[in-house]
Amino acid sequence: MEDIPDHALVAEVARGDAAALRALYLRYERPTFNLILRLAGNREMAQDMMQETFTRVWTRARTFRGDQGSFKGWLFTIALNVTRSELGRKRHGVRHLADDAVEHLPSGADGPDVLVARSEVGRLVADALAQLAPHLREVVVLKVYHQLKFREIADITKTPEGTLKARFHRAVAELRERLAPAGSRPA
Amino acid sequence: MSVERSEGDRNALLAVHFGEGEARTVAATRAHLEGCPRCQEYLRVLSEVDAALRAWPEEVPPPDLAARVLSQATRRPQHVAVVASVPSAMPLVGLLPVIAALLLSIRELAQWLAALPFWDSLEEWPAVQVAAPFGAAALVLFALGGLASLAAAPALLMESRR
Repeated sequence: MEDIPDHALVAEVARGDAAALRALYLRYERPTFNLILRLAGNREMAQDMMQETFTRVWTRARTFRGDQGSFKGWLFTIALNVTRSELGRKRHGVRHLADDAVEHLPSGADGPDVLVARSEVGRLVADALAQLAPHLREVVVLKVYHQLKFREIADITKTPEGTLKARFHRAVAELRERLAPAGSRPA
Repeated sequence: MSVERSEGDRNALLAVHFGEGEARTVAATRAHLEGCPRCQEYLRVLSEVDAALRAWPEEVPPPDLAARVLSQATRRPQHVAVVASVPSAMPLVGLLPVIAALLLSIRELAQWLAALPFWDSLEEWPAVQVAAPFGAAALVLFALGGLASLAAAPALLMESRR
């Protein structure tokens, strides 16, 4: 199924083909999981939201219109809506990255000292993102971690490009304060 | 140094930083940057924040997540396609006896009104001439319906607040 384009797989999913859903899941598991994780800030919640996201893909595959955008955009819109509603419903807010997240950070060939330092930086970034307002966090995550164009983010979030850019500037100003090393913070 | 910029300037700097936008605009912004320390400063801030954020690397989902998600998702029934259909006439068919009964009532009431002794004098009124017994009867029924609604309104209001 590796060579089958997304829209053909979604059509199969709409006909009740579980293997097609599996193929789509494996193709997009990692980016979707990381999108949700960075928006929710918590691995446990991210797993629940992945469940809900792909359940919606399964149940709503018939509503996908390939001529109106990519599957990835449709999937990200679902993931974003799931995250928004779950965070709102549970009134959970975004919790700080759980300690167990550290062991899941890719280690590569780094030694223990580097790994600890990287974990600390990862936690600092997660905390800084968690303190952003949700609508600011969304644009930062989609832009920086998923390298989407503002036009694509506008399609996913149903927000005008100009508004998204203004939000990005605001987020940069807030993140600059939180991420700058103590000695180099602006006056 | 302040990084306050106008919205247009800052958006042009976003285009430069992310390599997104028209080549001509990006080239013009790059040319402007050479002589503008404030824009250089904002571009530096953008780069720093971007680089700092990327220090949170992509994470690996739990190995058993795929199996869990897929087995749960496919248990749910899929939504069926909504097929646009011609509106059904069945509700109107069901209403036919009610409409017939209403028309019969109006006719009976009209005959009763026309038989009243003072109807002849009423017929001199222009409004009655226009309405005729049938129309007058309809008006009477309408008024009675309105009065019944007013009478029932308090009870319905209480019910809705329960």
